[in-house]
Amino acid sequence: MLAIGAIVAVTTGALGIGAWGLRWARTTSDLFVASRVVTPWWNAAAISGEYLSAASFLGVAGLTMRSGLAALWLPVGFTAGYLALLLFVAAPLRRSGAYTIPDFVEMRLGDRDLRLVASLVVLAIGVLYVVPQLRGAGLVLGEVADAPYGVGIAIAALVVVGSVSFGGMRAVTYVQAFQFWVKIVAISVPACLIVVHLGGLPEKAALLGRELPRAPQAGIRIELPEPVTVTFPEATRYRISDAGGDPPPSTREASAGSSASSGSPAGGGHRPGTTGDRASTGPRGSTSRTAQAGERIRLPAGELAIPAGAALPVADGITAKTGREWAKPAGGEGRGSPLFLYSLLVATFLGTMGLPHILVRFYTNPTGTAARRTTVRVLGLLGLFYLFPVVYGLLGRVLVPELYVTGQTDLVVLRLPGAVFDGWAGESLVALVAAGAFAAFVSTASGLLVSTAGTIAYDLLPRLRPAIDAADRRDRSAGRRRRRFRLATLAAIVVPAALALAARGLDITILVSWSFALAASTFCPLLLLGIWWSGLTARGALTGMVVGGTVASAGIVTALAGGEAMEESLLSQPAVVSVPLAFATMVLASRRDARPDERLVAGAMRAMHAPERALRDPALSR
Amino acid sequence: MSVDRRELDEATPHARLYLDRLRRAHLGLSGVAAIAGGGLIAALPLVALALPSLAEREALGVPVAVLLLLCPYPLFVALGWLYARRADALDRTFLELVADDEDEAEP
Repeated sequence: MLAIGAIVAVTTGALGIGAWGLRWARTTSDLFVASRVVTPWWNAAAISGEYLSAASFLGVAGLTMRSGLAALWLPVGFTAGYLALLLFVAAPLRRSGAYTIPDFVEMRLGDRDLRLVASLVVLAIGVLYVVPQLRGAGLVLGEVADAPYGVGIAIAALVVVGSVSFGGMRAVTYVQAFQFWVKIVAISVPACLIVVHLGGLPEKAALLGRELPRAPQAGIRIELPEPVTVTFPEATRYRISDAGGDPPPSTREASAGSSASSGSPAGGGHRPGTTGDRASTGPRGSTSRTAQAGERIRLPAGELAIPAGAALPVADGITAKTGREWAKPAGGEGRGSPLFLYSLLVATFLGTMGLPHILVRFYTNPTGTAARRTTVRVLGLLGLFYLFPVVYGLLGRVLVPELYVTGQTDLVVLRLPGAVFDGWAGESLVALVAAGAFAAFVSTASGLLVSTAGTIAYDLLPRLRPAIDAADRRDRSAGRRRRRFRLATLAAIVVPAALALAARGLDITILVSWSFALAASTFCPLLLLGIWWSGLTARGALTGMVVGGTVASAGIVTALAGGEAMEESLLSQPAVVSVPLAFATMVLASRRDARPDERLVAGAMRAMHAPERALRDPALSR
Repeated sequence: MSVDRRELDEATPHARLYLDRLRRAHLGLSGVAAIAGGGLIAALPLVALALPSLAEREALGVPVAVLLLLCPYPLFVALGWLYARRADALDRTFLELVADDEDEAEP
C-alpha cells in the first residue's frame, strides 16, 4: 500500500510540475527566450532524468546479480556515450538549430527522402526502447501491488500518454529534472542505509560471495508462483510443498529429466509405491527428493524448501557461479568474453548520441557553449547514479538468493530493502525504490514517446498523406497539429505495449542492445560525418544507414531466433561489426557520388561551427 | 588578419577559410580527447584480463574489480571538463579574429 502511495505521489508531483510549468511557459511568449532561463544544472538533471531508464534503475543491478561484475561495463558504456556526445555532437548540433535527427538531416543534406528514412529509424529505435520500460512497469506494479502484468502495462501506458499530452518544452525540462532527483534519492538512500545497517560493505557478503549462492542458516523457503525449470549446481535435497489445498504436484513431472537411479533415500513420508523414483510424497502434498549435481528439473508451483547451506538451484538462463567466477569483470564466455564486451562498449559509446529522446533535450541550451557545460554536468550526475546499482547487485547475491531460483533477478532492487529491514522501515524503503523505478520508466518512456509521436504526426503523416500536408499549410494554427500529435501518442504507445505483453518471458536486455546497436550503426555515422566532414552526400548517408541498420538488425534477429544459446553471443551485440561497416559504406558511397552543393554545405558548416556571437544575423544562430 | 560578420553570415570563400580552420582545430581537440577517453575505456577490459587477481583481492570489503569498474566515472568528468575548457578557448580565439564592421555597434 505504502508503495502504491509513493508511486502515486511521485507521478502526481511530476504531472503537477508539468501543469504548473506549462502555464509558466504560456505566459512567456517565446520558447527561445524561455530556454535562456534554464541553467546548465537544470538541463543536465533533465537530460539525466530522461536517460536513466528502467534498464539503469532495475536492469543494471539485476544483471550484475545474474551474470556478475562483467555486467558493470553496461553503465560505463551508458556514461561514456555522453563523452562521445560532448566531444563531437553537443555544441555543433545545438548551433545548427536542429531539434531532431530528421531536422538535422534536412538542415545538413537537404534531402526529403533521407529525412523519411531517418524518421523510420527514429520510430524503430523508439519502439524498441519503450518496450523494456513498459515491461519494467509491469514488473514493478506486479511486485508491489500484485497487479497482473497486463494491468501494470496498461496503467503505465496511460500515465505516460497523460504526461506527454501536457507537452510544453520548459515544463518537460523541470519534470525530467524532478524525476532525476527522485531516482537518485530512491536508489542511493536505501543503498546507504543498507550498507550502514550491515556495518560496512559486508564481510558476510564477501565471505558468502566466494561460494555458490547458498541457503542461509535457517534454510530457505521460496514461493514459486508458477512452474520454473531450474538446474541444481550440486547434489541437493529439496522439498516442494503445494501451497493451498490443490492436488499434490505430479512426482513424475518433478523427476522428469532425472537420471532415475535408486540411492539417496528420500525423507519424510517415503512410500513403497514410489521406490525407484527417488521422490516421495509427504503429508499435505509435499514432495521431497534429492537432485543430482547438474540436474535440470521442472519444479511445479508451490513452496520450495532448501536446507541450510545447500547450494541453490538456478533458473534457466542463469549460470550458477562461484564468487570468484562472478567477480571476474572480463574473460571467459558469454557476457565477459572480450569481443562481446568491446562490442557492447562500442554500441553504448557511439549509440547514445543517436537515441531519439536525447538530442531534443540539448535544444533547451541557449548556446553551443552551454550545451558543452550541460554535458559535462550530465557526466557527473550519471557517474553519481551508477555508484549505487552495484551495491544492490553485490548484496542481492547474498541476501535475496531466491531470485536465482525464480529467475527474477531484475527485482533485486525492489526486494533487497525488505530483506534487510523488517517492518515499517523495510516497507517504506521498498516504497521509495518502487517510486524511483516508476519514475525511471515514466520519464524515459515519455521522452521517447514525444519523439516517436512527433515523428509520426509531423514527419510521416504529412509525407504519406499529402492532404494533411496541404491542410497544414492552409491552417497555420497549432490546434490541428496538436490534436494530431495526441492521436499519434496513442498510436505510438499501443505497439510497444502489445510487444511488452508478448515479451514477458523474453530477456529484454536484448531489445536495449538492439536499439543502441541500431542507433550506433545508423545515426552515429550520420551525425559524426555530417558534422565534421563536408564530403558527406545524401546518397552516401542513405547507403551507410541502410547497410549499418540491416547488418545490426540481422544479427539481433538471428540471435532472437536462436534463443538462449545465442543470448550472449556476438550476434546479439553486433555493433563491433556493423558500426565500422556503416562508416566505411557512408564514406565510400559519398566519394562515388557527385560532389555536394558547395554553398549548401558551407552554410550548414557555418551554422554548426561558428560561435553564436560571431554572426551578425541572429536568425542564423538559431 | 580578420574576417567580418557580414562575410561569415554569407559564408564567403574568405570566411570559409576561417571556418574551416576553426572546424579543424575543434576536430583535432575532440580527436585527442576521444583517443584519451576511448583509450581509457578500451584499456580497462585489458587490465581486467591481465590481472585476474582483481576478482580475488578485496578492498573495502568488495572485490577490487568493483573499484576498477567504478573508476571511469570521475575520469570521464575530469576529461569532459578539460575538453570543454579548451573548446571554449578555441571559440574565444576565433571570436577575437572576427572584426566588427563599421555600421554595427557591439552592445
